[in-house]
Amino acid sequence: MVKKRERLEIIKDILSSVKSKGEIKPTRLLYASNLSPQMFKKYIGVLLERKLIEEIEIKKRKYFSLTDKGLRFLGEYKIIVNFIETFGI
Amino acid sequence: MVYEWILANKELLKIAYALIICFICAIIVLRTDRLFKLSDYQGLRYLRNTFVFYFLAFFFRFIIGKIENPIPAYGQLYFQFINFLFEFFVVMAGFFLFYSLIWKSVEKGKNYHSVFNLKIGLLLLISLAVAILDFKFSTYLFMYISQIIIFLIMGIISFKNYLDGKNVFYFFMIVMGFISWVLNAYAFFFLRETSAVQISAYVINMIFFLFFLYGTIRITRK
Repeated sequence: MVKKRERLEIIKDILSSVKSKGEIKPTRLLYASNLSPQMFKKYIGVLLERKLIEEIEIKKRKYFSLTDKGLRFLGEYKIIVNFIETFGI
Repeated sequence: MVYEWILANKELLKIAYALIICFICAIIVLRTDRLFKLSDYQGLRYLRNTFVFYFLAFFFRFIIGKIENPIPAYGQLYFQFINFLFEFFVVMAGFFLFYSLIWKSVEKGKNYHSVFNLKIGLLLLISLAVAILDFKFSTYLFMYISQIIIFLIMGIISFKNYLDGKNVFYFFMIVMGFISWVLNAYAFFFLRETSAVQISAYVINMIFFLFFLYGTIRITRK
């Protein structure tokens, strides 16, 4: 059985997809995230609210791009997970 | 020889002891807060709160409590109030540490406020009740009982986590905390005066905080 992805892992996967493309269209990001449209919408809302990603417009089309905070999250993702596992929290 | 020196300088040593623990707590709070703000992970938030409360507890008991009574008209009341605050903060810190271990199984979905939510509110009320009871009966009985029980439960949880493949490090930290509380209680109820047992309790308590600091720095250094 495939292990269910933890919330932080899903966020990391979404941010990694955004980072790898620079700017990415919502539909492309939905496919890359491997989430249902409903869950995807929920996560994007969270990421926008926490300013990990931002919405930009290029030639009147909506794209997502990574913010500095999102980049820092990716840089510290391993530290965060390691911390959580070590302290059992 | 060393024992006599410790006894002769015990008030000064207590202040140094509290300053070191406050410093350790401040570092842990800053580092966990940084990780929490990036990840929004609730467990980090509760762990951070644990050390905020430990900081406040030691600051009031050993630093503010050592300042000469600024309101002499109220005699011992000032020091009793400081003790009351110490108990409330230290008991709540223990509860936050406990909650940081179990929050996943009691919080579903939405993020809660880290202090003002129903579950934490209940723990705040228990901490307040413990501090009030000890204040009323001029004892530390309820504080010791609550902390020994909570550390025992945390010991069982972290041992179970260790058996499930998690790091043994956390289990050792909790065992240190548990031993420190038991020794403190034993020294208070059976020995009263500053004793080798109480000094050992202080040393083990310091090890408990140093373990947390070591774990935090080791993981969060870049």
